[in-house]
Amino acid sequence: MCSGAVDPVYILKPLLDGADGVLIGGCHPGDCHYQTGNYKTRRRYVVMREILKNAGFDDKRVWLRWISASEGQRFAETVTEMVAALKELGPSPMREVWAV
Amino acid sequence: MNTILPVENNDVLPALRSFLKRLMNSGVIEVLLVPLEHGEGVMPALVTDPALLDSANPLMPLMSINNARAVSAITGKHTPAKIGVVLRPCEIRALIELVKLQQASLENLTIISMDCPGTYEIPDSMAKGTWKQASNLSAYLDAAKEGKEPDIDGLSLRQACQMCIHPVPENLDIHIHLFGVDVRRGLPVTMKDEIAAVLNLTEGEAGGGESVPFGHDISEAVARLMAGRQKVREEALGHIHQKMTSNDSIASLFASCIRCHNCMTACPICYCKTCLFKTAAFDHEPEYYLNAAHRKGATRMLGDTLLFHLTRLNHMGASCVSCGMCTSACPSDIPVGMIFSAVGEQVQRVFDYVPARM
Ligand code: SF4
Ligand code: SF4
Repeated sequence: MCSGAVDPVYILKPLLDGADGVLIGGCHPGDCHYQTGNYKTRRRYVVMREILKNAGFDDKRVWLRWISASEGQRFAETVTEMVAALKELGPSPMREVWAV
Repeated sequence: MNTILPVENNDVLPALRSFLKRLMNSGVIEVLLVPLEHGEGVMPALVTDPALLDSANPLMPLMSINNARAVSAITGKHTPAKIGVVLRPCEIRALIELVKLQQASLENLTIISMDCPGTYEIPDSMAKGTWKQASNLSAYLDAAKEGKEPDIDGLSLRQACQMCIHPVPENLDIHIHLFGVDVRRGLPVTMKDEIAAVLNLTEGEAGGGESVPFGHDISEAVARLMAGRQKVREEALGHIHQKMTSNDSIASLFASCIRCHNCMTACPICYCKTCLFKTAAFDHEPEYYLNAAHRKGATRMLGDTLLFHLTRLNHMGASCVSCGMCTSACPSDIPVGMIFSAVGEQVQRVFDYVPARM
């Protein structure tokens, strides 16, 4: 699925279900099969982080990285890096009764 | 072009009505979207028969819906007639956002607006019968003249109006002035030259020897009102920010939300034809709730509430025009509009985006 089709609801749902983080992978800028999908993602990502931050949540739990479908190595590295960063942050406070 | 419409017996409404009729009879517009008196209040209606404008009442300070929605319904790829719309400043601002989102069009549209001293919650003034008394409207117009907050019948303005920093309409064709002027002696109107030409109106007509009230009284009254409102807004939004960051997040603000979706239905910007939250997407299987309860120790059974609000913030927060229709529609008295204004403002800042700026 094109990263441009990732509606914020797909990121918010796992976060509110208690996931410690969500990674959005998109094709590199200039490489979008649909021309501008990843640019839309980039804008939405900025909006989402700003909203999470203002709403009292940790915006560092959502990552956007440019990783295309053929970059298996890069994907593995990114996930390892993210898991380490999330361990440092600790369990998500959204894993809480009223955060749904 | 500035002109003054004659007002007889200190009664503004008939002057306003006859001006609206004149717009229709002269062919400037063929139909008019305007609040008509209905029951004890007003309801927007699309009027083709000028005689029915005898019950038009844009002065009654009640706002049942944000009419940007209605304009979206009657304009589009092809607006079928020369349509006039009487809108409040926040309705124009919502309309401009809808135009950018390609949900409405300004083509063939004549926007008529008035300075807006603010509106009241409908149930509050209905219970008291406030607007059946002419003296209350008089007091309201007096406050506008002075640029003071109206103090009428013990009523408070709607929360959004108390902190509104856009009481003067922008992006319009015909502007009826209330701030800084004594409208009972003549109704000052600013309009596009081409409209004045069709109406056969000339600069300063019917002024009756009065000094033309387009001077510093207007700016002084507006400045006075704005200073107070700006302060209320900053305090209110600051309070919301503080709650979201120091208490237990935005969740504390929506603690009593029953997810009735009223806020979304009333919002003029929330325009999706099929809202995800009105589909079966969140009718989960029983296992889902049990899993959630296991994971969290307990789970709020009216689920996906914050999901709904955070998603809506992501979708339209940047466009929020602070009209507060969401707050007025909320059965749980949640200050939805304040929350959306507070968060929206931050997103707007990131992009240096100003809603309703063309
Ligand atoms: S109107 Fe109020 S109770 Fe209903 S969904 Fe919106 S915030 Fe919740
Ligand atoms: S979120 Fe509320 S205040 Fe903002 S535009 Fe929608 S109805 Fe108006």
